[in-house]
Amino acid sequence: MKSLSNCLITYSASLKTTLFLFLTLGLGVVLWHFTEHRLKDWIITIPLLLLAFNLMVALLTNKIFRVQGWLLLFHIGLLLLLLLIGISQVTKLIGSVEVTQGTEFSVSSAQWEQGIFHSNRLEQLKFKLESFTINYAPAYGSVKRLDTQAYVTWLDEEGGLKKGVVGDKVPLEIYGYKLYTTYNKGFAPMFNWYPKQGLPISGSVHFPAWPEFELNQTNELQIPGTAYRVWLKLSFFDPIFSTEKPSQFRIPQDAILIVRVDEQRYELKPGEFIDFKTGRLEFAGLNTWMGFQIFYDWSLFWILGASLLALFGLAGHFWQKFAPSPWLDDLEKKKKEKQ
Amino acid sequence: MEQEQLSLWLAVVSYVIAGMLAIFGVVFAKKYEKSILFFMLVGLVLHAVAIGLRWIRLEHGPYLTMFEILSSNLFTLMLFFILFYWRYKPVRPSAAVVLPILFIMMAWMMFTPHDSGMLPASFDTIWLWIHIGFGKVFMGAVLVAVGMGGIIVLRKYHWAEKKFANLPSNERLDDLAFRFMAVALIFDSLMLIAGALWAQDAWGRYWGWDPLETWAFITWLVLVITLHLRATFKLSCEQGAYLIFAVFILGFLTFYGVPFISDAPHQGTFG
Repeated sequence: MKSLSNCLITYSASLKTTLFLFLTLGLGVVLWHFTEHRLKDWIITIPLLLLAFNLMVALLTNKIFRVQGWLLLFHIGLLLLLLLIGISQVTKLIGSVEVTQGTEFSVSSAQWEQGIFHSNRLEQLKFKLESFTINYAPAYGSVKRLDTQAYVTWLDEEGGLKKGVVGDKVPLEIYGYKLYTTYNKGFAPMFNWYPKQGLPISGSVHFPAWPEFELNQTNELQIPGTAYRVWLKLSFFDPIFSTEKPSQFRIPQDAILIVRVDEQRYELKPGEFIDFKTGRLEFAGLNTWMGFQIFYDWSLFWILGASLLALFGLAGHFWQKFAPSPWLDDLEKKKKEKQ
Repeated sequence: MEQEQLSLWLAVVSYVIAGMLAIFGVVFAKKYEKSILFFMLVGLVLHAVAIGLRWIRLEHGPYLTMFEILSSNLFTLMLFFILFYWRYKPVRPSAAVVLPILFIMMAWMMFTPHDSGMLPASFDTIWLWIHIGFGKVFMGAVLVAVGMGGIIVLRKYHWAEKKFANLPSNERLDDLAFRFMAVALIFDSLMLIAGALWAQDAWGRYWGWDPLETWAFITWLVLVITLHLRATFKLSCEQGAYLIFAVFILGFLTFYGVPFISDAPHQGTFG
């Protein structure tokens, strides 16, 4: 029995096992890209878990770590890094949301993936995208995107109203969630629906990102509480960007909303409407939306710390190994020995 | 624009002369070391002028288009190798192995369209410089190791064994190569860490397994495996050399191939 446990420990801590797991991890990373299976993350996770185990057993049983302090530090850093990455995977959240200018963040329009132990507080996020600007500059006959600034108001954790500007490298942080502005933005026609019975409802539809999908500015609107589904297309000729002087992303001045209801086609300007049997749909005007990336990972700082600790240990190990015998001096010594 | 092109062409000519002298020096057992160093330095200065003129004209550093990336990497690899050449006199003939590798980059660079690119907002950060800087040291260190590995492998052949007879033994070359591989691992790791910090700032995630991140990780993993094998198993000098080549090839493909065939954010976002 004792020999079996010894054997297990020997194999678990073995450097050959480490090598095998490195190869498995490399293969897993390549395979990960070629599969769409819902469990595909496990082909990276399993080798990482086994490597963490291999490392832990090695740290406990391999005598080399008792005499080589730097090597011990490097491997402790690595083990911490693996553990933190593991914890991060089950506690983090990554998502995205499109917010219409002048409106509040709504969790119902957000999409996200979260770890099984993530305690979701997205419902508690209260922020409003007051407005945003994205500057462009002429560049080689085209334009290049410059800075993005989103003007936001939000309620902090104590319920205080805050105002600020976020954008590019400055995210909005509420309850540990970081909301980054993205290059995704576009146009959003606003609608008012006046049902013959009941209260009016307002809302907007987001067209695909612009200018990325410049030639596909279409979407559909499901009129609330009805079976009507209308097709929408935005049409304009006003050039948003100038290739000769600085410009900003803005609403085109000559925008017309093309609406198709079954076989009937309408062209609407702001304030115009279409009458249905059960109510009136008014095109209230054209607005814009901005895409935000939502990110939550409490372990970021600690992952960075563990990476630097491991690297510090590795650098110290190599220094200790190579510095006492510089290669050129060593070569000279060997030459003299030969002579 | 013309001065820029002229400087670049003259730089390449100087590098090629240095490379040819290095090859002739080994083949005909001649000592052209000072001339080689001189032509490499002249090439480097002219190359710096070409990069500087382009930088002033386009108002951004050489890190956007394939041409710019090849040019700046060629410059830093040359700089790294010149420093090595100046410091490590006993292994100077390795220039006959290293410079022909750089000839490939030079030819590729000269035949690549010299067009300009647009600087995405996400590239406007100090982390870009730090990330790229670490990456260049990593590739420079691996290039030097490739030089040592090249000599070890060439020595297998009778004609080359004689040509490189005056160089230190394979064991000594292998030792030097792996010292540089150790430096490469440190800087490759730093490059990944700086890249993660940049990605968190720019795209709101520190690691996203985009194609470049994936291949950068695989390169790092193969480098780790190489050093791990060297430290724990008795590899022959030749086996070590082949592993060094593998790291170099992977690093080369990751740096110069993947960013230009994927649509990942690393390529820049132009919306």
